[in-house]
Amino acid sequence: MSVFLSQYFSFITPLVLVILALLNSGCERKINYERTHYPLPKGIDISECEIGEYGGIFILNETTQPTTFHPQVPNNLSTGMVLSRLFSGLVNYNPKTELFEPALAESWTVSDDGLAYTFNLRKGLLWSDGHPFNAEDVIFTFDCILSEIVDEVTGDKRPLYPSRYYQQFHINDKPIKYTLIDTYTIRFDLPKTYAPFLYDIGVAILPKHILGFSFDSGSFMKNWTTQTAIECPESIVGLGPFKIFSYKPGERLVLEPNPHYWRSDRAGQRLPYLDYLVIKFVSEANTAIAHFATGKSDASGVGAEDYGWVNKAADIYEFSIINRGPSSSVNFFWFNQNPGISEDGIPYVEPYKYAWFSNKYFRKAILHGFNREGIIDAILFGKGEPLHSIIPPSQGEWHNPNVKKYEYSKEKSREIFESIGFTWNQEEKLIDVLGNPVSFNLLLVESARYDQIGITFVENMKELGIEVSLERSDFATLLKRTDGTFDYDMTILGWGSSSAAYDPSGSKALYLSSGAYHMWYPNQKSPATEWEARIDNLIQLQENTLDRQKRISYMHEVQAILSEELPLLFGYTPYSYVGIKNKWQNVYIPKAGSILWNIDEIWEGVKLP
Amino acid sequence: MGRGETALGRLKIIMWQFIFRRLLTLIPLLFGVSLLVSLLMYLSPGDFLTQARAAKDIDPSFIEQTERQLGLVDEAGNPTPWFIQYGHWLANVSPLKYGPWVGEFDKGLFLGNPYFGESWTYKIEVFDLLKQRVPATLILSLTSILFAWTIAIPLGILAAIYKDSIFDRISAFFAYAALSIPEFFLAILAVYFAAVTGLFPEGGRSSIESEFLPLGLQFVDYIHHLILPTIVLGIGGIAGTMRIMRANFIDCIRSEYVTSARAKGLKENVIMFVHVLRNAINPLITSLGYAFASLLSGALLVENVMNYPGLGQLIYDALIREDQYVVMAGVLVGVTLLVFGNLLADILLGWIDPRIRVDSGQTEQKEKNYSSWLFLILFSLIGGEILLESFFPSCLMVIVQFFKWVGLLLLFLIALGCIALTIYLLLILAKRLLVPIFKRTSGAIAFSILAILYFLSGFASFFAPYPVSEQNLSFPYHPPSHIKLVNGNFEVLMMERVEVGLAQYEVVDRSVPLKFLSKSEPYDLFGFIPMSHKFVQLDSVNPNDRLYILGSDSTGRDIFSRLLYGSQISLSIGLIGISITLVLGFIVGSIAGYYGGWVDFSAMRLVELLMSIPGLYLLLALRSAFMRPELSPVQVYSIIVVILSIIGWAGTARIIRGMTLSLRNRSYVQASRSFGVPVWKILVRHILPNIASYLLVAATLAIPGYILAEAALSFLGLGISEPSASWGLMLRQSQGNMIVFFMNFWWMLLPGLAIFITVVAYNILGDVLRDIVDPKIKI
Repeated sequence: MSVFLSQYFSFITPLVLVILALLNSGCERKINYERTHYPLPKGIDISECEIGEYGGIFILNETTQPTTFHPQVPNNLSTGMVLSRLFSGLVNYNPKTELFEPALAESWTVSDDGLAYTFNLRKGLLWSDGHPFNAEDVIFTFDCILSEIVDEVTGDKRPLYPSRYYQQFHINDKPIKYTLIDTYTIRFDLPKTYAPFLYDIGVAILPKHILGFSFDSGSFMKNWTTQTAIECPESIVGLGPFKIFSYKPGERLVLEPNPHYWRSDRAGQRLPYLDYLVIKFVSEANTAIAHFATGKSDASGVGAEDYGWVNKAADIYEFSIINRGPSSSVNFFWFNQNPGISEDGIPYVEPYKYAWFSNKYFRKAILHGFNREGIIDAILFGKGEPLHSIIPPSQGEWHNPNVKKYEYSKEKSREIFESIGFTWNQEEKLIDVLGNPVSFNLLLVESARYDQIGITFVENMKELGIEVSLERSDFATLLKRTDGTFDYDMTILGWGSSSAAYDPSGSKALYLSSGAYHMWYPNQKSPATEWEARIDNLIQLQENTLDRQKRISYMHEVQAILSEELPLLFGYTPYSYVGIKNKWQNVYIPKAGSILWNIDEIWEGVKLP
Repeated sequence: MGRGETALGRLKIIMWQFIFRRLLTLIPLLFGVSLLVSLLMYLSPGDFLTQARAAKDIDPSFIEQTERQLGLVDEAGNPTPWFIQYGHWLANVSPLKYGPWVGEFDKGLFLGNPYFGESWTYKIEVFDLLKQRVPATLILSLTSILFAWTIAIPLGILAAIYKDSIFDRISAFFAYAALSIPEFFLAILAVYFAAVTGLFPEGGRSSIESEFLPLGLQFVDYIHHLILPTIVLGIGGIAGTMRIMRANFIDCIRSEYVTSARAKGLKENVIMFVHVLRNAINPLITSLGYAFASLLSGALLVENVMNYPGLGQLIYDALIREDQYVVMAGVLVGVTLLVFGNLLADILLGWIDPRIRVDSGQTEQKEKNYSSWLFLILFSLIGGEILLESFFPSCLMVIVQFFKWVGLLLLFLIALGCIALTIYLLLILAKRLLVPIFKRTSGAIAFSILAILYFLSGFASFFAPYPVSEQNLSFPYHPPSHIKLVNGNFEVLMMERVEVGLAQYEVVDRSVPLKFLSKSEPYDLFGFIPMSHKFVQLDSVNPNDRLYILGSDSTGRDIFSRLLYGSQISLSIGLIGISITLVLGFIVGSIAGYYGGWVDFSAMRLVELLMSIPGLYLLLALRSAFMRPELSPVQVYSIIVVILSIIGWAGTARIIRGMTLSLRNRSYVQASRSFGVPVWKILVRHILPNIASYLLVAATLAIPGYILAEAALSFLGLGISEPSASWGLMLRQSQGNMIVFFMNFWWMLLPGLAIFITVVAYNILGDVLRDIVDPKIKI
């Protein structure tokens, strides 16, 4: 019998051992990545960073899948994040110096009138497949963006391959001009002085030798789908620090170093140091944070509400959480102030409601009655602050700290309501001048966070005698209703900037009365109010000067007007935290934007506290 | 010898015929399911381009182009009717194509590859997507069944052999417990367990290291990732399988051949494991098909919570994002898997037990007749609709209006029927069954628990200290209040936060007495009786003195009050749902069983169609078709009830049909028929009383399904929405939200406990009832 048993065990033991080994080794397992060392080109960019060592797997969690690997196909935020690792542009924004730095362009000059930019490219660079890179590729990229065809039906010109960049490179409806000077020089001519030009010019450069054929044959946009990344990742060729190793939708995307990347350290080691960059897909943000808190990913944004418990595990899993202060994400409520009439002849907003919504004192009274401090206290555990301006404090000089502020005060709110002739009836319901009880709908995106905000808002308004009912929809439907059918009373949205390179022109569509994101009354033919006209004017002014101080003062005035007129009822801005494992070196965490902006310089060193 | 061979040969032929016939029935089934799903997707607001349209940086021309390519709009840019969209899909999927249609240039009739469309979310062909996902779900389902069986069969046998011993009792208790834990709740706990111990991965299908590992180790890694989902998904199956196994085994032990084997002097072990086991295991194999259906539904939840990239997660995501082609193909694959599962079970059964012969098809001729009629009627209906919509769209509106009114009238009648039937069944319960229930301890306990729960839920606004959504933003995640007895008075110790940034509280040196049955803010009991007293309140006017009997949630709302208010939704949904189900099931089932013939045939085909789609898939599809954001909470509630009943009635109808079929030929029914008593009277006067007890058992055992389904729906964020409360919705707050676990806010999980207790009580009560009525019925 014992013989029999031991026979059994001899079979089981190795299996158990293997499983145990796998369980324990987990992250410790060293994977040897075979690097091919190609000679460094003449034009290589030598990084000033501390010299590191090769090795390490960096794991990141993402909640959304990339929808494409083609930089010019419409995509989402997560795709943008991935693409920025695979491709490079002419210039790069350095959040440390807050300046644009040379990337594929070694240097550039601006003419005195600010209209002509000449870029000199680095020499001797190769694409990730080893093919040489030169100015032809840059020209090709802009051809792809700006080429037009004449529409057979309407006779109008339209983009050959519609992309988000088409509009971006039109200034006052005129396209920029780009000229090939020689193999390594390109000149851009602008129709007009345009301050944020450098901010726009960093688009991903595409390889002509790969995509040129499809550009001619019309299948340009069908290239580099997610299917390509699954079946044939090596055909996606870029100039970025990484290239695709493998892609499993719903599971992970593994990137490996681009052996021809255009940067090296001072010791002549070609960057990036990392062996692999792994982007793991999880179903939701909570899971992503849980993974980080249990040491299963290397870096993660940590929400203000999660800071407390995630930090408890910091010593066990050897990571640190860094407070970046107020984040660049903002949220705001607004009332529908569109005076228009729908196709059926019904006004978008009932006239009596429109009278409330378009009254700035009504809006001020509401904001005074909204317990933003309480939300921050309860939901964010005190880790946030009420927002007072559309440009959050994280944007440094651009933020205007001296705007009008609306603190939570039921008394003030009641005072303002009384001053505009509103009264309360016996049941403590708020009644307007015409005798209508005040009640409206609040449209929310379906999510736990907005539910919490919305419910608090409803409860706050109840105390003022206002009845608010909640309506939920998915994000797309909400946008359709707020800028297409306009059948809503009030709604709330938030946005955050993913990029550290901040320029107020990036949210031009919000400020301009003709803009598509001019939430409360978009796409106006001519400014509806004087203050909107003034903002239009200020935005134009700041765009047409290269003097940073002047631009800042214009934007300060815009913020002052917005908080006086209060078309947007500002919510709060949470403090932003990021966690990263202690072993990673050369990490510099900027105030805003991605913490991995210098992923090519990050290396795995000793575990320092 | 030659004879034997031919017999075997014939058997083989019959088997192949059988398989072939079953596969043939798959075609109309898939056709019906795809049509149904396509209609539901068409009815649901928005489509998969909605998001693209909302994103302003996507050029409108690009969207128009896509719309045309997919046949969503016609040449003029108007939205196409559903049959054109479905036709497009069908044309793409069918291997036999007739061109040209949009996006295809080949002319005439030709053979082509089936094309299932492209996923909008993943930007790859649906077929490729399914190729990755289906095996994952299949493997998970198989390992779960395997897991459930390897545990359940031995336990069931032991429980049968040592019947009524302490072991039997304990295992029965665990079986009830396992059966009653909502799968998603268990999944949350599993993820937490994985996160805390680090023994298992919290989700996913493979670890990152496996990219770089040899094949063998990749396999080990995969198994490592499978363990937790398998356990979570399998546990529910253990209970059911164990109960079936135990009952069968007991049956078989009592049979004559066992007695004769014992008389022959065979060893007890040999009898049990050679003779009894082989016979007892048959019904388990039959249940395999059903087990598979519930596994597919369960997998959807488990995959979502545990981030396992399988079919369920894919379908759920696709439904949310209106990724139409993925939904269509995914549901079809699910249905096909089910059919194959059932087929496999039948073949296995035939192989294990040669006594059972696959039916040789005597009724076939008749059925063929019926089915051709059925198809004719269906096609003419669809054809008529298409013609009307193409040529007389205005006429269609009139018809729709007409149907709306008829529908409302029917709804009203059904509601009346529900009330009548519920009262009738409750009377039966009181008259026939209440005494026997109370004679059994477990029955009495279960019944009393339910009675207390429903009583509390009915008087929720009296017992709850606070309104359902009254917040206090100073007390997020307040732990349950400490209450102590001082001089005969209950006093509540006040707590304050240790620091603002954390949700940690400590008791301060101040207490507030409780007052009972005292004056409060006026409220309406049952919505119309004005009241001004509450059961228990704090004796304080300071709004910052709060009583949290069971703690507070993220915005300082009282969990206890919310549990009470939530019970109104969670508990009533089961009752209302089951009454609609019973009425529908009784009408369809009894008529089908009474008349037989083509009525029976078509009713049963409808039932099969509904039962062939995994429940949760259908639930989600129906939900997205009927739910609109502008609906009020009451409307949302009614829609959920209706959807649950639509899915539920099919099974009940089948059971009632079977019973009616057997009662139909009883002499008293024959007699009344010959007297010329109208059919409805026969059904109500003679059939109903005879099956009432069975209905009651079926209802009691089915109610947990409704409670769990509502919880699952709300848990996924697709059911009841804030600020209303339901147990599932309350659990949602703790889903994946690791703060609940890491800061040990255990009281956030109490709704899960509430669901658990209710479901256990119903299951026990149902079992007791079954024992009283007829221990042998299979419901």
